[in-house]
Amino acid sequence: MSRGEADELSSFAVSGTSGGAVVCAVTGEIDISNADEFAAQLARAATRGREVVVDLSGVTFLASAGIRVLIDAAVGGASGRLAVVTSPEIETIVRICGLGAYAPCRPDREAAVRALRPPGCAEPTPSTDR
Amino acid sequence: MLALQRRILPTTLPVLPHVRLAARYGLAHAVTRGGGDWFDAAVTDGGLVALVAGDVVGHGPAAVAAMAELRAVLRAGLLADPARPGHRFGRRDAGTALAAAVAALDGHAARDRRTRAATVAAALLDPATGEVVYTACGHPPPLLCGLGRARPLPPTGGGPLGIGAGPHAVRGARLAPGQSLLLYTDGLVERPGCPLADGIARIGRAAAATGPDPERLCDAVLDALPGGGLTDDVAVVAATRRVAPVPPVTAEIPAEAGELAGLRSILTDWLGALDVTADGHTAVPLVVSELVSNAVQHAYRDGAPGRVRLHAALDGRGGARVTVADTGRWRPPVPGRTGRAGGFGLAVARDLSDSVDIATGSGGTTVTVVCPLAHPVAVGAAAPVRRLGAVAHPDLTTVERPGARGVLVVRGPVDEGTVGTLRQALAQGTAGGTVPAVLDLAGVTILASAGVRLLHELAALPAPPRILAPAGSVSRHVLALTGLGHLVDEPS
Repeated sequence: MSRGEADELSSFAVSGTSGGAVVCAVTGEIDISNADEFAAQLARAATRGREVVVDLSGVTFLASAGIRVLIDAAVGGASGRLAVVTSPEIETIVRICGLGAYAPCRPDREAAVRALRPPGCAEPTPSTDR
Repeated sequence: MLALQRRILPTTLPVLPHVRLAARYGLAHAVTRGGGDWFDAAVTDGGLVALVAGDVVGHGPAAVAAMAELRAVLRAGLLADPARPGHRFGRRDAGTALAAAVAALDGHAARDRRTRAATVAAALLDPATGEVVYTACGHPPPLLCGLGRARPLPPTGGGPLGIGAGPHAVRGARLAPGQSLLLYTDGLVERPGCPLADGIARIGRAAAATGPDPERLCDAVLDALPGGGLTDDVAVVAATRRVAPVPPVTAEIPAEAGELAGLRSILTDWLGALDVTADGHTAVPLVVSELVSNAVQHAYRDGAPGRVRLHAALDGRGGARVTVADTGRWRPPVPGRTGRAGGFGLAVARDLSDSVDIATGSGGTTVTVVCPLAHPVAVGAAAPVRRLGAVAHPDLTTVERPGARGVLVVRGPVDEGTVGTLRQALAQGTAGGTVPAVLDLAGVTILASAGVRLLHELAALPAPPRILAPAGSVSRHVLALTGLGHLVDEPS
């Protein structure tokens, strides 16, 4: 039985920074077969900046194992702060597991980056990236 | 008001192994206040499929409220059938249950002027055998169609609800595999100036040309409306007996993480063929994935990986019954030792299901989950619903026939908008109902439910009017259908 994707993340790419945050774009399916790899990639990306946006808008299936990775990263990671870009495909599991209580979940990258900063705090320009 | 009506009418239909269901609700352009038509389709306690199409007199908030009330009363009466587990619920039992539900509805409708003279067609279908019992109270009987043919089922007699026109008889029929039962309101067949029989014949031709697909059947009968479109609102509900029941999904896999994606993909394909809403599409693969993940991570922790069995089937109640079984050891979630699944698996299953049952023993763990499924219906002005052009119709005229005292000649449409005119003319012509009158309805182009209600009121008077309605006229057919045929004077 090998019809689905799984096992290896279809892709996990650090696509640079947005408003000072490291943006990781993930595609494919995340379940227990690749959650450890997802955690490792996320930890690696987190070394590149204090704020991380995990863009899951290209993820077509997210199991609770993937949510556990994100919660662990948001709570215990050395990454500073974490925001998540969700999509309709994964909003059910995000809701059930209460990911929003650990990291802001937003429908697009701009909103996710904004959610990392308290209101009134000016967004740094690209030239002043930390 | 349309938004409220949209909330009252079902937005989804049950997904069943032996029967496919579809429904439509459409409104004429001219009708902006919400109509009194409704449909319903639901599974009874005994596993029968209840189908309803009904019509309350009038439009606007009062009609919508009356419709909601009748819908709820009938639904409660039909769904709580007295079937017992293990007892075969045959046609006779179903007929008794249907008659009782309709008698209760008839009594309830009589309590309030707004619900009087409503009409309804209702049926109970045994999905496994195709046996049908039905009744039509002042309403066109259901259409039996498929396999290249279509015919209205024989009328059951009795008039509209709440006016003492009961008891309403129940008759039986049978759906062969591939055949459909169509229940509809009169907006589908009623045209100004055309006998109802023409409209019924028209939808029959359209229905006969469709295959065993209730969605296409609903579209076909609505598309068959002539160019002018609807003059009123219309509700349509169809049930098609599947040629073959939906097969269950079974799989047995090694308890390995790499198998999960393939399992999800099988379930996605299965659900895709069932045309379920996004909720069901999301829930079933997710729940199965979580449960199998639990088995992979926990059941065989102390030994060699075993196997996991999956069984998913439609439960005949509108849900999917999913079983995940392993032969390992059940471990209750241990705080701090939860693995990557993080203890969320059962929480996910509980959130997305109606029931979760866990059976553990030395032979392994079996988790059974029932996930609700639903097939979408569009109701109201949203996309697939038809908002058809209205037909302009001339005004009602009532004149006393020259040289014939007490004979009132009625021409044009008798509907909600004109019935007041007719009521007034009658009161004048009959000295407040004390003098018998003769109503010549040969020139009536439409006799809507508001007119039928007026005629039923007149029929209850000490001196009811006589009615002239020649064979083939619009009025004649409606009068026969609504239990008023006895008022018609046969030409001698």
